[in-house]
Amino acid sequence: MKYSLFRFIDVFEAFAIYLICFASNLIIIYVQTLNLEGSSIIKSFLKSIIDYQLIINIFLTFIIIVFHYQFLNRRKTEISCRILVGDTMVNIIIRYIMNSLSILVFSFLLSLSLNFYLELNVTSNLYLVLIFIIYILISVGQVQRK
Amino acid sequence: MRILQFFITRIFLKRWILVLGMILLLFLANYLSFTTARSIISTYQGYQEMETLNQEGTFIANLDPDSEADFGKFKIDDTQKVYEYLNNNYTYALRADGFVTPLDNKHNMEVSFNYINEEAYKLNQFKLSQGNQLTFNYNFNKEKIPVLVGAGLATTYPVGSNIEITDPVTQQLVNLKVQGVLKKNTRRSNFYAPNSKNYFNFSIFIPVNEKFIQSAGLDLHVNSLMDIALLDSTKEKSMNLKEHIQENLGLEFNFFSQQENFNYFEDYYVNSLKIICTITFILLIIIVCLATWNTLVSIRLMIKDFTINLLVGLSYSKLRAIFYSYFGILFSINLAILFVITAFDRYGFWLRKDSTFATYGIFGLISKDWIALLIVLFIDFIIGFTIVELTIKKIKSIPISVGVLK
Amino acid sequence: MNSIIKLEIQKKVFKKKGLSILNDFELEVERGERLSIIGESGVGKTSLLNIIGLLDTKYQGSYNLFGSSVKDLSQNKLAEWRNQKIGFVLQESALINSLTIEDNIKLPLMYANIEKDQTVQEHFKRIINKIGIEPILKKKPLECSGGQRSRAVFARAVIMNPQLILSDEPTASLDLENKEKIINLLFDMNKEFNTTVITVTHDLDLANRHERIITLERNE
Repeated sequence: MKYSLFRFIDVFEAFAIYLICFASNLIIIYVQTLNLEGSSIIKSFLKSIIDYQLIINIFLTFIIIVFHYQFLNRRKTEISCRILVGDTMVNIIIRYIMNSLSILVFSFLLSLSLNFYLELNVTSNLYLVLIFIIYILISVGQVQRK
Repeated sequence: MRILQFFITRIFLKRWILVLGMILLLFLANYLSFTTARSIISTYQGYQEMETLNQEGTFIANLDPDSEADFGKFKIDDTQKVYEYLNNNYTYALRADGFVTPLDNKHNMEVSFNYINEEAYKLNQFKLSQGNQLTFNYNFNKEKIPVLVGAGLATTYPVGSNIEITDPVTQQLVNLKVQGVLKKNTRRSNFYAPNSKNYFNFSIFIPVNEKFIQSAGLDLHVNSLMDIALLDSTKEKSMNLKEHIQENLGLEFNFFSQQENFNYFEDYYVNSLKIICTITFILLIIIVCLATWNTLVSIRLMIKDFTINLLVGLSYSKLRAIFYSYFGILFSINLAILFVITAFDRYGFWLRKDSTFATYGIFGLISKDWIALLIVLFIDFIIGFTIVELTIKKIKSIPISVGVLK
Repeated sequence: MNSIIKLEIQKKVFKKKGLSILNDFELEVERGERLSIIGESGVGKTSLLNIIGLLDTKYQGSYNLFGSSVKDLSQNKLAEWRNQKIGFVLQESALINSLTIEDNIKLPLMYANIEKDQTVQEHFKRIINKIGIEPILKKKPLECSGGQRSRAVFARAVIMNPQLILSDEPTASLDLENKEKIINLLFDMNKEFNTTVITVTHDLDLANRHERIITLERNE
């Protein structure tokens, strides 16, 4: 934590948002595996959600962009201070990427327990991981000092 | 107004990612509420329709799911026997929908023929926009058959006009006389799936009497049996019919009494709705939590802007009004998007010439869509109130002097 | 006596910190007076300024400002007085970075709904000329120097011709030349419009240039 821009609360927030996104995706996949032949009301209700699975997931994952945006905006002064006392922008960016990826990987691994519990394919959330990595890389452009 | 404009253009939109994030989250909340509200309204509408049918002494047929039916093996003599038995011993409501027939019309829609007997017609009480109700005492093959047409056919086939066509169930050339026009969006719900609807804007209702049944083919005979309802009957009589059908057609039917149907509704509909409401409630809570988080991080970033404005004369009550107006605008945007999506969805049925679901209404939206939008608006009020009050509480907890120098 | 401020504080408590400051504090300030408040850090100088400036109303005691009891005023009235009767000169960072200097200065006019008023426009130009920030009006705060930002903060504070100017370390981050400019502007307002000036500072030189100095001491 000493060199990281992340505080405990930031890690917690990012972790929670990643988990919400992973869990939402898994639940939508899970309901598709259920046999709802005898329940037309629930079936048609879930269909109206399942049909837009990708859009719903993209909308939800946007909150991760919000997280990185606000996080890096609040850290501008800290970045300036770190550079003042001898840090470099490159090192800060590398640490930022590594920290962000670590949080992502840990939350993905935790989400795998839900995969196992719901007996779903472990690759179900991989496309979300890819989207999140893209978000992290895009957000690097916001690592700026004040 | 100027202050609101200032806040939106100069403060909120300067951090457009936060605004977009909020719009997306609120849209998810709105879409979910809308879908749930429509499911509930649709089910409730279906349930109301069914209540008129599900009376004491009524037994509604339902093909047993385990019954192995080979429809190819049926013979017309066997089905005739069943209907003779029915005509001699029972009062019954019969209808069969969805016999698609090519018939010219202004909208180039497929037209479906729906067959209904007098008892079923009395139970359904269709409302007409023009003309008179159906009569059933016509002489088949000798007289013109009086029919009702859906609202979408009214311009091509107005009251009093004649239609000469080969009837899909008797395969005979028949002469239909338009006696009345159904009100727009007249519909029917499926008895055991009350949330699903068929709209009769491009349908023709043909009255069925005994002679018509005798002339009809297997299609009508078998299809009608699926939803047949015995009126003023008893469990014993319904069991007799069940046995008779099984002997002649090999089909196993269940005839459910009023109480059995009520129990089924209780077990199935109510539970389904409970599950849907619970899912929606949980998802809404998660989305509202995320939206609240989004607002609170926005405050973290914008606190200096807020507090400087408070310093130079903005009051908390004005700030509250600004936030309510801001969320009002966000909700309006979302409702507008929802409206457009729904209207496009409804219009899609017209484009695809799907006559069963093509509906009339302002931009194609029907009553349940408008009611669902109103419910979404109400839920938006609750979400907006929760988020704005939390936001103001948060801003108030930060001393102005601290916020200014943030 | 023509007192515009009559303040009697029994105590101001910070519950979270478990701290009580300004115990049995009394202050009376006359119209047109130049008063400075000094004292070591954490003694309550800024808290006092917040109370005088109607930013904080949570304290035990009474406060009469311009002849009215502050405790009887609604939140809307407090906001209106902050807008029209009080000007705040804070450190140069107290500007909205996303707005131009001109928009920052005109912010109080917007709340008073007099932005478009012809006489106000002329008054705005007069102030800008006097303070000498015409060239930076279209710039954003982060594109300006510290001195320029301080003058912009000052312009915003005086744009409504307030009866009371409260300044908190107004020269803390300025060089000598800019410091002199701000002090002169502050005192010119005092002379020209008989504006009451209350300054919180660590700077003894600045404090000495006021008519009266109050030293806050820590409670034993």
